[in-house]
Amino acid sequence: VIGGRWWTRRRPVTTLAVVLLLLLTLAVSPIVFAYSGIYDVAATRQHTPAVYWVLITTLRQSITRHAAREAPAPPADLGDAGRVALGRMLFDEHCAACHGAPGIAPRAMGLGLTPAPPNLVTRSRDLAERDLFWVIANGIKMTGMPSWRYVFNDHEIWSLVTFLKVMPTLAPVEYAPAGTPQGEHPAVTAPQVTMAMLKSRGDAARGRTALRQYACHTCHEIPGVTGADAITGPSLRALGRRMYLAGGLLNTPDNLVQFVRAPRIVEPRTAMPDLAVSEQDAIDMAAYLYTLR
Amino acid sequence: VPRKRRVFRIERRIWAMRILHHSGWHAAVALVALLSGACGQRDEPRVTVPDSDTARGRHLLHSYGCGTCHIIPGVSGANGQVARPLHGIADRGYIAGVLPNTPDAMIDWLVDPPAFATRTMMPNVGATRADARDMAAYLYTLRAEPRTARSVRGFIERFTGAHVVPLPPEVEP
Repeated sequence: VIGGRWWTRRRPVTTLAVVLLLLLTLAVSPIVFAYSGIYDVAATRQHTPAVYWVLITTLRQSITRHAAREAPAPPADLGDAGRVALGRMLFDEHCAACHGAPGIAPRAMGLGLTPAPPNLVTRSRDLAERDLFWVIANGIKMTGMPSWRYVFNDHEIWSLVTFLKVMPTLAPVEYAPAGTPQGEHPAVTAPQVTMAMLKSRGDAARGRTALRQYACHTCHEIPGVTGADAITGPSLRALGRRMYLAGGLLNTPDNLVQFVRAPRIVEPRTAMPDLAVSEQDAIDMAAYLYTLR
Repeated sequence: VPRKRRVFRIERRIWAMRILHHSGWHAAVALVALLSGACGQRDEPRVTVPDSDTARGRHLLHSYGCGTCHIIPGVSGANGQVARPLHGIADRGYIAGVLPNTPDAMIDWLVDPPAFATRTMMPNVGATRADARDMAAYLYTLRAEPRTARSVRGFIERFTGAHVVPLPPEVEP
């Protein structure tokens, strides 16, 4: 066929067939994917960086957009002292179990979740008040965050928002005075942990998974751990090169394991909570952290 | 890990480092800077310290010798390798892990660190409250990278095995 426009040309049936087949494949492949069971839903298996980016960007943009349209304006008496007290009470009772608090670890139910409930010290500081209200009221689909709209009234939710804005200005030692009971495990370890021991007994791959299961990535940046981009605690990048840990501990495997297992014995005022890390898990974590150079 | 895969990983890393070497580190740094610029305004201090002089604070950080232990962006000669670099100090959740990151706490900390953390190596340099106020004002201009830039930097660093933001030299723990 010579001449004429592309769309007026006569063409063999095969082109049409190929296009239809492609469309059909596109439509069917999600169904095949879902039925095949190939996708690993295990919470221990971290997202790839690309998938994490899609999920987290969708989440953030959705919160900003919907809060701007749906959340009511903050009440005039938002910063009230009474609200702070009420907010703190509600936070301790309903939120700290999963999100933790300054110097206090999440309880067992809050650990090992994917996505992990974020630490709120920097997160709530940097989010707008209406965004916080919207998230608490409506919850977030496909995460562990429930909707509280039918549990709390608006006054209580705004009080929580007030407290979330005050929490980042509290010293951990004010929030959780030294001696606050935190899990029950015997204070740290008999054997001296050495580099040789990390090599023989430590499993870096297992340690990397353990860092997520103990929610370390909700406060620290940890290279190689997806979603570990928080700034509440110091970044753990190049930990293997640092001279000191926790401000004044010489960077040795033994000190690292001690600090991970019993931070408040090492530094009583630290914001780092006691997560009841077992000795083997601490050794595995250390094995991974020393690969960061 | 099978030998073939291990060799591939090493080769990949060598190639990435070659490319980065030839294109210059500036490219990687510029990329991060570009992303930081694109993802939010970060040139304003996170909080303003009342009655303070940011420029004077920068000079004071130099003259109190903070740079002998810390890398401090924007302070000449501040490339100390002992303590943490102060990139992004304005946005961190805590100061030295023990104080909330607020102007008052920052000023208290700069005046007398050992009063707040039992183990800290940071000495009391004898700064007055007025000097500490100015230094705090400068430190609150050192913003963290936005999340996306942080993730991209992390990815570049992990893939190439090299560091975009400067770090202390190798020490054997």
